Amino acid sequence: MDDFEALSTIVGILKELDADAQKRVLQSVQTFLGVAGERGQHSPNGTLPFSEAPYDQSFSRDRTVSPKEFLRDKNPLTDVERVTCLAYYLTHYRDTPHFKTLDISTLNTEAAQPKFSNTAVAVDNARKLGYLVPATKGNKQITALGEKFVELLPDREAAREAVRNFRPRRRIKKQKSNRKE
Amino acid sequence: MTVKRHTPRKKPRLALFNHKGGVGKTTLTVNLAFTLADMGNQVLLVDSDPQCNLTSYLVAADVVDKWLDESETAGGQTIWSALRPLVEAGKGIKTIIPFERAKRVFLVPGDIRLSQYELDLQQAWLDCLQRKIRGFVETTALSKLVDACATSVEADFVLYDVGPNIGPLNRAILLDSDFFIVPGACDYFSTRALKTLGHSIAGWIKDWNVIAQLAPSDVPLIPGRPAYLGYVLQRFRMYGGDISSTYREYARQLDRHSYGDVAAVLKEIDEQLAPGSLSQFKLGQIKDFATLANLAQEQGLAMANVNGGAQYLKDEARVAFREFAQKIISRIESVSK
Repeated sequence: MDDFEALSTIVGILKELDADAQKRVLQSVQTFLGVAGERGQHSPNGTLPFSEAPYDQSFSRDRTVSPKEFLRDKNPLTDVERVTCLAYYLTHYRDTPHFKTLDISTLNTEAAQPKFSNTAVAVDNARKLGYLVPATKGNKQITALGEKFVELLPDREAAREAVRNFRPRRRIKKQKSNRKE
Repeated sequence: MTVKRHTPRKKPRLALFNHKGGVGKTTLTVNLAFTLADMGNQVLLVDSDPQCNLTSYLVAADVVDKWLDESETAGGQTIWSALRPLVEAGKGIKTIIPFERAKRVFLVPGDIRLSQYELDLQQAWLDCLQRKIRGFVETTALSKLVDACATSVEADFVLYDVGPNIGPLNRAILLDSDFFIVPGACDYFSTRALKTLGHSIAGWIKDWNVIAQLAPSDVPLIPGRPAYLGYVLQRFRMYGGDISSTYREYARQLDRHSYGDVAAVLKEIDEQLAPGSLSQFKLGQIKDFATLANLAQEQGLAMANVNGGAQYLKDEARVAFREFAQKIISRIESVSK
């Protein structure tokens, strides 16, 4: 069906209604199809009514939480916590499990956070606390403890409790036995 | 033209909804209901799934069969018994008395014939668009029934158990709910389902709001603003006190998609449809209690109260569901302020 056919059909049907009904149907169609009329047409105060609020029905649009929102939600209080949160975001939201200090710094800027006084030191402190470990080619990666800590934030008490209770699995070294069977 | 808004209900109505099947909606609904009742609340359960799983869970099979046999008689007490006069004869809905299953837990029994009401709802929706009063009456009929039942048992909470689909019945239920919770399993399909779920609900809310705007002034309406409270993680196993690595990545994906595919989509329409920030949408995690779930279904009880099963598992279940219920209550309170 082309434009002209559609128009003819619509006009043909609307002709059978009275003027009020025609107006109402046209307004409904406009609203349903998201074809905005003049702004404010439906609301004298100029604000968009609820049903006309913009809503993108795209399935492919990425609505993942932004690094800024992520950090606002997690509310890290120290540089080490912020580094760990950024490392978590890189790993699970950017598919970057191995990263360099520069990646952390760049993401920090993207998240509109205050600059680290010394990013390398903050990253190294996170490593000392067991939140990050070295990966290949000079990269870093977040540890299970670091992930757990970030996942429990902003509940700081629960996060600290998890850190206290965290026991990394240790390999039990087989002791060489001198006994001869 | 202004938006017609309902006054928020004082006694919240919740739907535990996921159109992905097998995520544990019914089991979660029952356990939540018993927990809320243990905490001193009157709870009304509405079995709005034509499969009647909730009714079968809570009531012996022979009683369910008897109810179904009698649902079209004058003494019928199922959800269909109440709606049938409207659907078949265009009359008002019939009053039914909710079944008191346990102390403070009441049930509106389900019925396979509810699918006939669902068929009518499709036409009713179109009637609403054409401002026909019958459309509004039919679309809001279930809501009116639940109003009456909730009033009769003085329910503090109404929980809808819904079927796993995106059909007209679930649309009417979701639009009647004040809040909805998404039970999610730790698997790939559950994470994918969140995207279509978010868009479907957003579309329903938008459409209903158009209908409500154009509705004649004297027709009954449903609220049409279900707020997303959050999701609950289910169907995973624990290892060493934490979610085992097999399920951990899915758990993270659910967390990400719950926000990106449900909350963010609803926030685009109205911030109040998904109030809160990222970490507030995780309402709890209920691990796989294995045999307890089967025992609970057989005995029609909450997992924590079953006869048999390991005591430590029952204690864990009690704690998990209580934490979940408390989180829901605190979320509702913070959202309602």
